[in-house]
Amino acid sequence: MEAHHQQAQQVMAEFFSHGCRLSGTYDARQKSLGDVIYDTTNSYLIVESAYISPIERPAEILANYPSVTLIKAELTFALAMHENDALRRDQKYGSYLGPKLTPVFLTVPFFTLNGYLRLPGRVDPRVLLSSQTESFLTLLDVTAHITNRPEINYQGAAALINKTKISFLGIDTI
Amino acid sequence: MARILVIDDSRDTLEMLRVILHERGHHDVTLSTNGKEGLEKAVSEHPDLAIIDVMMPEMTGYEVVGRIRANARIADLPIIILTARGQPVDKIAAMEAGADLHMSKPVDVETLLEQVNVLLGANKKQEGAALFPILSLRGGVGTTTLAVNLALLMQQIKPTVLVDLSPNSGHCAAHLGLKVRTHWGQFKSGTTVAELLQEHTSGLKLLPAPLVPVQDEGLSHQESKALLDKLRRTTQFIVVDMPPTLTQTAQLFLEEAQRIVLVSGDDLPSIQTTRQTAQLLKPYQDRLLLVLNTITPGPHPPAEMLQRALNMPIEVRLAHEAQQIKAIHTGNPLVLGIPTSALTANLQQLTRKLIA
Repeated sequence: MEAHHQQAQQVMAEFFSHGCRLSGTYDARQKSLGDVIYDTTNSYLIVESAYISPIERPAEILANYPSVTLIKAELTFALAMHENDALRRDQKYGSYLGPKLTPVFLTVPFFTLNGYLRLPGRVDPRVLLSSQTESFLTLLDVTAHITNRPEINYQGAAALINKTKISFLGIDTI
Repeated sequence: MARILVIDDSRDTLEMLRVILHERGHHDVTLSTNGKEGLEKAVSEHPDLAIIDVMMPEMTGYEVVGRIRANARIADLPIIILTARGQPVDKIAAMEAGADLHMSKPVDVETLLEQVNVLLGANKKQEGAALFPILSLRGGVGTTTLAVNLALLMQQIKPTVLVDLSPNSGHCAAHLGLKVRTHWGQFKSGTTVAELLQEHTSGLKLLPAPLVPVQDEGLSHQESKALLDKLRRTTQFIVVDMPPTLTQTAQLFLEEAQRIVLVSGDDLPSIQTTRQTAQLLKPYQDRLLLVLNTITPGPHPPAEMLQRALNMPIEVRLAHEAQQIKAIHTGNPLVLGIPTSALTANLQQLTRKLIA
């Protein structure tokens, strides 16, 4: 038996941008974080009970707000503790996610990330990195190390990474 | 059943934890929706354990933990940080802030109850109060001064009773500026300990020695045991100013002690007596803690030399304090009268070692 601290619609996630970490909840309302982040019809996301820390000093709460508006284009990546919180509806139930897991390494401002891409067939980096159709990329089983403090890391079942923030992408097998 | 304080800004979480801890764990639960109020409750209600959220407006959980650890009265409160921030760095941050355990939300009920019981168990090493006899078989080395001042420092942390076990007219009452109205010589099996305790303005309770020296030992072994049992249920720390002879009662107190403070001066007769006493107390050597008291001003032998002569490590060396005589005459002990003195700092160090 698990004691969930949040009501069913409130999902906890971590958001990283410009050297800051924002911990908070978003009101999923039948949608996953993936559904909201990938949604191109709006450019922002409302995060509730938001607590902001520098990524290197987690004990230091710089600010807290009952509600924060997060501009998706400025987000570096979001971390979800549970895979189902991060995947889009079509990723969960459709054919988008194939059985093949491909190890991936990538860099974004302040972080290096290791995780797995779950895609059908071969991975084509040109398609993968194109932000024409989708602005974000989903990685599974992610560890994000702070680039200049690699001993500090953040982990999650899934990460949603802003493609425009990626500078290096390393794929194990193509 | 323990008293558990839960501090979390979410009323849903508070209610859920109340149900888990009270209905399943059979604990008394006090709830608080913010850090400031939670801190006040920690001080006033002195719970056995606290469960604290991190992300709270106004005062974060880390700040609450820091303030608890900085307050001598509640500094040893076992604390669980229970937070939605469950990253590896958050675990480190919680431990660095002073928490005993970090748990991530959502939490498994059985795991939470198990960890609560582990922490409560760790905090209850023995039933009843911890007993600290202060002993020297050579008179005039400052045993009473040490006992009185240590008891006052411990009282700042938890309720404390100072027992003056001298059969030959003790002096703890005089050190505290109290007149002896009751004493342990009046204890009989049916007596309540509360009737015999005298309270100092600091809150410290004193069980004085009889003013007139008692014949034989004063208390039988059974009476001594009954007295100690009752004292242990009355308070949390017991400091004993031990007599300079190993009476039957004194031996019982040594057997039951958590730590024994053996006091020595740095003069040759003191060192000889202390060395012999340590031999005598060999059965208790793992609980023995040697304190070197500097009674007289002026140059003193180096600690290494004294340590070699005593053949045991000196845990704390107390500085000489010229105002000590005045403190006794005025009934105003040094830790209260000159709280910033080097001697007070030494005594605080000793207190930490004893209750660690």
